Amino acid sequence: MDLSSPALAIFYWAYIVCASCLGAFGIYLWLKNRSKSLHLLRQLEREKRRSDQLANFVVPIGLSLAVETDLNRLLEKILLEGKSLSNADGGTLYLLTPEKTLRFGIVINDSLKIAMGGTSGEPVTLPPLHLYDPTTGEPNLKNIATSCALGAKPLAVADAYTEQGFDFSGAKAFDQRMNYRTMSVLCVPLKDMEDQVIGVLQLINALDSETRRVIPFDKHLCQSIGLLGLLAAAALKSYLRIKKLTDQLEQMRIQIDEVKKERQVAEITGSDYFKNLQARAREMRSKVKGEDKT
Amino acid sequence: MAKIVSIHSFRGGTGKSNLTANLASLVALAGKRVAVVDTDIQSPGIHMPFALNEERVQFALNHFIWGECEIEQAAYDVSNRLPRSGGPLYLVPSSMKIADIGRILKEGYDVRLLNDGFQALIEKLNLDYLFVDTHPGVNEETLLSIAISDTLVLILRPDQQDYQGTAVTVELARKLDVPNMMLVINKALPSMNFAELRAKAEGIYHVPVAAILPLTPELVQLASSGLLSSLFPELETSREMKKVAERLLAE
Repeated sequence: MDLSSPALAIFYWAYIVCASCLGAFGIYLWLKNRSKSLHLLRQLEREKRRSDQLANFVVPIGLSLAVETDLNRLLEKILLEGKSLSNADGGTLYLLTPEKTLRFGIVINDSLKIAMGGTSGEPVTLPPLHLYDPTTGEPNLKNIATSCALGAKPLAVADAYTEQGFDFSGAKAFDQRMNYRTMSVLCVPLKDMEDQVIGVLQLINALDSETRRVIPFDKHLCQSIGLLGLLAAAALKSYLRIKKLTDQLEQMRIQIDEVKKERQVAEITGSDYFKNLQARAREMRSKVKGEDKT
Repeated sequence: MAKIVSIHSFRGGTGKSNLTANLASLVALAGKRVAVVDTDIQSPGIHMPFALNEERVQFALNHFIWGECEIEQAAYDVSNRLPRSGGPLYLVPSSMKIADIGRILKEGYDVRLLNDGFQALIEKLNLDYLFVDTHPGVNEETLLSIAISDTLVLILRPDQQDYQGTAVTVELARKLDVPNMMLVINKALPSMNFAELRAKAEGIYHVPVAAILPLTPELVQLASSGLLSSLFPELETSREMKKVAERLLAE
């Protein structure tokens, strides 16, 4: 057979083209299946992460917060969970008041060994933060916590000292007094089921678990902290609802200790002063009655 | 003849001074000649809702007690705090100066002077109503204020301590033959059943409940810095205070 004939050359050429096409199609099918498998793998991973998160984080924290009947312990649990999740050095839990201020519920800082509010027994002496300027009525967007409450969105800064958007003069003054350095800050709003902000969880100085150096808050963490915020808000709302009901019951319960009352009254009425006063009051009233008659 | 109305509570923080200021203003708005005397010498506060500055006060109740002035010299016209014209409204404040409060606490005073002062004030200012903002609790001065009252308004919060303390005060007022008594329950949770609370309180104390005032954010915000009934007349608290004032005027 003459291998150099044009017919044969065309045949070979056509064979090579077909083989290449088949090969390319095969590769295409393989790649397609691979991408599908990868997609499935990723989906499986996501589902696993979600189920891990539910099993290891949401359910235990949710249960732990839901059964808490003491407000101080509840506030402390919320803040400690937030700190533990983000490996933060300190934090504050603010509660929104009807007067539109953020009241310090609890303040903790590990390296400064500060604990105010919660179960510490130390009262929080810091003044509340105004959401609106008391004079002008303008929203207070300078402070990161009030800004977070007003915008109802998480806010994070990597370094409070170089951040242009917010006024950290309060934190700086605190740092100078306490020989501290506030760097990374993360604020998460606590929103109830009606999407209303009822408080703010503020975390300070995320620490690298190995080097213990201050690092910015991990963006991926925000989702977990956001979940914590939801759980915390639900637990707080539930606590407040129960408190309101028990307060109502307590307000409606009028019980007088008659023995105690009689003893207290006798102590007062037995004094010479009271007896004189009683006599003078009677005299005065009978005089008035006499005047009225005339 | 002038009527003496004492506003009293067994414990502090009940909103006594605020209620006194609002009731006095509402009665003055009805055209009556009214004066308020702050006998809470140890912790004066009623000058706040009337916005009477310390600088304006040359003589206070303390100076009358010490014989340094006549009672009418310590009476300040605060009618300008009324939202519209009414009868004249005077305030006899207790001194806000720490040294004066300290002197009273240290030296004490003859409470009978208060009665003389009240009578002189009624006469000199030709008053229709004299409101006495008392010191919380029971002492010689509050007992005197109760004893000389035509009407005693007892203000309480809906909690066990106030319920118990009010029971003692009601009993004392009965022994002092106070002709009219009424209760005002303040800072009640708005979600409570007010009718049920009123019935319970009246059943236990056998004294009419003139008003139940709900805890309002406006009141908290105001923090004694103004007259609620003038600033927020549409509020339930203001409407209830008006009913108490009408009751006082009718007696």
